Amino acid sequence: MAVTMTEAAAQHIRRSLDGRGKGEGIRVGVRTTGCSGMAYVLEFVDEPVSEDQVFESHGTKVYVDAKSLVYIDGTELDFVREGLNEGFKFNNPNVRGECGCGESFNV
Amino acid sequence: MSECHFGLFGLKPAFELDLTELSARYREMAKAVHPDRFADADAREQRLAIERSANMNEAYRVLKNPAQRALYLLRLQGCDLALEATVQDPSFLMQQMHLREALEEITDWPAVNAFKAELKQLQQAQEQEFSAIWQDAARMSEAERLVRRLQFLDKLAREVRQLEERLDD
Amino acid sequence: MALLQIAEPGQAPKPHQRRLAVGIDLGTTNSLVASVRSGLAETLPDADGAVILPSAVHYQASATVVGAAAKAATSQDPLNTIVSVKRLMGRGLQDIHQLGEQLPYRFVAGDSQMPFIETCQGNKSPVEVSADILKALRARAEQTLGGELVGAVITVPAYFDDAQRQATKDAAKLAGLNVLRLLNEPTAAAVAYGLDKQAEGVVAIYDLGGGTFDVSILRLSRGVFEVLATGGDSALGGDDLDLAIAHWVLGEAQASTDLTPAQQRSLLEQACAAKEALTDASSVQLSYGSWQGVLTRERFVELIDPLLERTLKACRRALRDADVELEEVDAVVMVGGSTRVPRVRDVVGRLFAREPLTDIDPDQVVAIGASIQADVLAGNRSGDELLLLDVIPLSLGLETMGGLMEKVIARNTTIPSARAQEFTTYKDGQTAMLIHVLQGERELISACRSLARFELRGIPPMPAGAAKIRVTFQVDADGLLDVTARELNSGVEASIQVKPSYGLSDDEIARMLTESMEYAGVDKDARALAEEQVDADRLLEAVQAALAADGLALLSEAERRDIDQAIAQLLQVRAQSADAAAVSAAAKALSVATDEFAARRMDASVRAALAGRNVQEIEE
Repeated sequence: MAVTMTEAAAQHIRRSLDGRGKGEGIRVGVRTTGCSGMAYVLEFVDEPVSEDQVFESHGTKVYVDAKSLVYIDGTELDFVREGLNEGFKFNNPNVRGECGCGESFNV
Repeated sequence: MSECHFGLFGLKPAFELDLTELSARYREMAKAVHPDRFADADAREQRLAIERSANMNEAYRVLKNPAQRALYLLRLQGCDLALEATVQDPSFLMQQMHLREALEEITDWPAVNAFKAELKQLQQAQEQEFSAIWQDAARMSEAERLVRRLQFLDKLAREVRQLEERLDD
Repeated sequence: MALLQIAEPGQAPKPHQRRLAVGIDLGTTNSLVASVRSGLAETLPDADGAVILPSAVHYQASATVVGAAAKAATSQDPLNTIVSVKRLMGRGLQDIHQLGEQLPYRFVAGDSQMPFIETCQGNKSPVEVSADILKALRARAEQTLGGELVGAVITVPAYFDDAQRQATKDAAKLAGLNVLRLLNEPTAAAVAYGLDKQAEGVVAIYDLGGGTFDVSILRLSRGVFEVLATGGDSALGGDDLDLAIAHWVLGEAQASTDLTPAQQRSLLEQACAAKEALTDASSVQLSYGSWQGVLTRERFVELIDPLLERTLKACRRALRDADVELEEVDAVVMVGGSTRVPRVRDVVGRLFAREPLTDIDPDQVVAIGASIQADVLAGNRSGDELLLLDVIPLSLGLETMGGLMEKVIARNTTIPSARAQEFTTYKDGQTAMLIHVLQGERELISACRSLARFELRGIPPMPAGAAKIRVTFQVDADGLLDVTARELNSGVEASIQVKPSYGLSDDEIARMLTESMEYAGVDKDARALAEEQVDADRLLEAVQAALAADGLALLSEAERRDIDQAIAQLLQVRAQSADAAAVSAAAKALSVATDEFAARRMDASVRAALAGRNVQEIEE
């Protein structure tokens, strides 16, 4: 079981952590949503929780809570630019479909 | 919510005041009521925040300044003060005239600094006296006199600032 | 899938609920927009990668062009290409005439004193021109961030008066932007620096923009940025350095000073380029008509020193107002493109006896600071780390008998601020009263800025002198004045009609809004209903959250029942009614029913803050 990230994603996360001045790493997870299934959670981590699984990729720590892990196992986090927009993208092999608005998915 | 200015900061009415402590309390409390905390809230909460902040800022402004603080303490004791120094204080009236004339003579920076130092000494003397007697009900009229003097000296200090600006030209 | 940003712990937004907020530096010469993404505050570039949007608007017959393309048209279509519009915001025609030699436009009078500019697209007010710039920035931000903005923090010079601020807010409204806060530019710069360096102590911000100069003295202490004093000159900026060069050229060339708009523009552009070139070169070539000459750095310094001396004077005054000695200043920060001129850095460094800080790009620092505050105000971070306590830059007062100005709120008073004054009637049965509000430091009204005339109506008829009318002047966190009045004997609140001296009337704004493309074709009633519904939903959400948090602790059963009833009523009206007025009334009823509760909650939170302070003391 693993969650990884691309070099581009790692670079951006390092920059953000430096700019923010604090943080152990990032948290990656899922939560249920009314729209159509699930949505990703992407947050900074200041205080890890003991139940978290920790992965390390390109020198950056990724924390995943036990419940989310089964839905995002094998996911690779990437950082891309689309037009003027730029941000993080989850390449998740478990995803079956996405909501039309592009904000939630189901597995 | 008609708390007195001191109560607002969790302090008992007093003339002696730790200004560092007051500032620290002010900053902590400002965090709780500043409109920025309610930028996202509905119009009513925003309005309340503005009122509370304005109230707190006014209380802080009064307590920070010794002359204002003294005046406020007397007002708390029910004393409604007319603010011009009157003929009831003849020796101070004379001093007022001397100080005003001295101020008009000033044309250079060393003189300004000397004047400011003298002014500060006078203020401190009145403040010390006030601090000693303001709680004594029997010496109320003396306390009033001291407050009027402090108000005058405060006003003079402002005029010194205006003079400094003119000198800077 | 939509692209994600990294959120603060526990703040990851639910889908469709991302709170996108930006900071906007609406400058005289250049404008920028910035936003905090994944914890980083960054300016947002356009499709060509440029972060700066020149504050230029070119009105063509069939299109409105904003930015670099508009700036390029300045000398070839000077009357329809508007630059430096910020200098016209909140100003009247007389002020304009003083600026006449720099701005070649054709002005006509509007309803109030506000001047309109004749363009091929019709008459445009400075507010509309600024709105066009803001629209371009808003579009860039929404495209880049991938969604609608919940709001923007827009910066203004600290020295902007009430009329100038109100004009800026009106422009934002026309551009469809929700203003989270009007933020003073030096304070914004202080935020960018302060957070960057985790600074503590006293900081001076020297901000020389294109058209305005600001100096602010702040104390930074545990995330609280407290402005101690602010000063400046809202009609002195980098543009004036250019003008000095232009005048010199005309003198050397012995040319007439009566220039056509195109000549004016072209000469000023050359002057600006020369100023920039002299940053690195020791001399620069200039030409005008048949004249050619060389401007040395030494000569340039002679030309601009008098202007710079004005800025230093403002610095000294601000220090006096702040009650801070030169030695107590821990750092001096340079803001604004014009601070790249070496002479500027020299004189400022000499005054403060220290090297001015320039590490954050002086063109971007204001937008970056504004975006950080926007992030806080939009609710994306806890906000415990940052609080800005700003001040009003100019005294507010009233016209009294004899044509004098009586100060009500002094300059450098921390805002929000409120002061009350009592008035009475002078005629039997008098039911109305006129109050003329001004801003400025001088005694004579003619030397101060007229802000507005407030007409109080609805005073209950009484014998002359019997009425006790308490007029409260309140300045909010944006630095804007609001006036309320109550007759104390009867408790009647007077209704207030505001006639701004240099601003747009509510009618003018309404007209501009309906004319703008944004609202064309949208049914007015449907929009009114939608607005009331949104307000009602927000109120319901806020009340329910408040009840969940403090309902048990702060309300009696009877009080709770009343509130629940008002909630039920509003929910019903909201679900069933298509009448905006009905929804509004039900929301008002809930608001009134929860007024006392809201006040108690705020008191409790203030006490908690104080208790927290006391506990800390004991632990030390």
